[in-house]
Amino acid sequence: MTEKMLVVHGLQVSYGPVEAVKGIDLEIRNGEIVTLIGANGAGKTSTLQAIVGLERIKAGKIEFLGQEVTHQPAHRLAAEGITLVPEGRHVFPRLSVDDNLNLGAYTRKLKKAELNAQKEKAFTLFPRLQERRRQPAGTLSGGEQQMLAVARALMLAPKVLLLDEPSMGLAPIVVQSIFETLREINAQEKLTLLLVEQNAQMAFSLAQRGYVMEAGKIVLSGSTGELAENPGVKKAYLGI
Amino acid sequence: MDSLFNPYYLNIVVIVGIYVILSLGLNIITGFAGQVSLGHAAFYAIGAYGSAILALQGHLSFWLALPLAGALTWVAGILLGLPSLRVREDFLAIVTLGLGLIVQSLANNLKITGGSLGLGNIPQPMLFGKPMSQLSFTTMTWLFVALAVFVAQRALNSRVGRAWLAIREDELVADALGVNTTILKVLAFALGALYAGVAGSLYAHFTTFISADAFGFSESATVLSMIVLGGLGSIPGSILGAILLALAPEILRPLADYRMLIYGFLLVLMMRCRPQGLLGKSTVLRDKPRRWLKKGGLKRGLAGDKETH
Repeated sequence: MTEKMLVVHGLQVSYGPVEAVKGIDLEIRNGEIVTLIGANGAGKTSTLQAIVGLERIKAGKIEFLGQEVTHQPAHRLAAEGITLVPEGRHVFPRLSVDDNLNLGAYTRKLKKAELNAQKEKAFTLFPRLQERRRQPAGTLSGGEQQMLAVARALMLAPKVLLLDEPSMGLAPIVVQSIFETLREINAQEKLTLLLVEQNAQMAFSLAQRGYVMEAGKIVLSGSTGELAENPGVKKAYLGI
Repeated sequence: MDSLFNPYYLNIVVIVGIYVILSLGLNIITGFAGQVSLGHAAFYAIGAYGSAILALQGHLSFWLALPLAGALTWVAGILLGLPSLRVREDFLAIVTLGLGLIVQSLANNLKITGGSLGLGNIPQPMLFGKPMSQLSFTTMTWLFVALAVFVAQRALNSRVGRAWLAIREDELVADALGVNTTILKVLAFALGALYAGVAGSLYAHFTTFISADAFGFSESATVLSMIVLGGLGSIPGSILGAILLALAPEILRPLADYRMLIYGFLLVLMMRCRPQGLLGKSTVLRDKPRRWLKKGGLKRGLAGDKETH
């Protein structure tokens, strides 16, 4: 399992004169959980959005399963198996939980029975959603919305799932439960995850490897065990 | 019976039907796909002028002019829908407002549209070699309404319809989940425009005279009011909103000068008391405080939130 799932070469993203991402390299292998940590404004979200095709790439190259996919639009990348759970959850607020999940499987054109089977699987992972399946997603609590955002992305049957700060604004116990589910999916289905976090402690508990991003550049990388021992990381991200 | 079928009433019934078609079309663009348009009258105008010119200069029968006018507005919908790919929400509203004004002033100034004099003597539709009676025109209009409802319903329940709702709710996520937002937004404009084109063609051949005054901003605003009043995104809502607002000026006619005042007041009252529209689904954010009040105030609301974590 050392096949490369996602490789980023020299990625640059700019907003006018502001360079948000200044040429970074990332490598995510098949079945891995990798985290990208950094402070506000480090360029983490821009990196993720550029990878999934939601942000324009100024320079650099993205390879997905050995194929170059730079500059492909987001909807095509989604059909190929790369999707993003955006920061702040972004559930479809006025649509029911059920319809949110149906839209997750939009690219797959499933038959009704297959779609229902997929939803049952999602409800096994997140039983709380089943109780609320007819409710508009906007009425769910923050934790439930995050569960729904993850479940919806899983309906797409992605090969690699990018998560942008799933812990944001949630109680630690809720985050733990969501991370536990992600770990389960990773173990059972070899789903590759790229997790962007500010909460380094949470991220290190889930990921095997990590990158540290500062001011648009990768400043450190290694196994999460090594990173957790690094004095700089300890001071800046773990508060030790 | 005689009074029911009198020309004045039939006239209103046809105009109401035309507004229902216009509303259903705008509801596809704004209610389903979430793209605010303040220029819907532009498509209505293109349909009406297109059909009239085809009939007057091309000597085509109504039965050919109507589908061709529909096709013409479909293309116009694609072209005028392109700005929706670059701008969003309030900016899109302003762009569509501008496009509406451009189309109206073209109608007012071009030679082919008769300039400010408009186009007259538009032939009435022929049926079995005779000009259509008003009763048959009324029936035909409402058959088009039925077709429009059917198509809108089918579209909403299709894969395309679900994608439109996703775009309306959150375009970024729709994109990330594999919805080709570019094509689908333009498709919503094209289909909504086609509806307006059919409505325009019916209008032109019904009144037999059209001028640019009938296709101004107030027309776009009226149709937008209809779908907001009925409930954005709701097909029965669009029908009800169109019927109510098309009838209101007629019903309030005895009040003479006061009728627009009351009409306006009713709209304001409506937005205050039922912002989701008569038949619209309640929006989450607006309803929340009310539900809290029912449950016994803010304190319990907050405690309830904690429990769900």
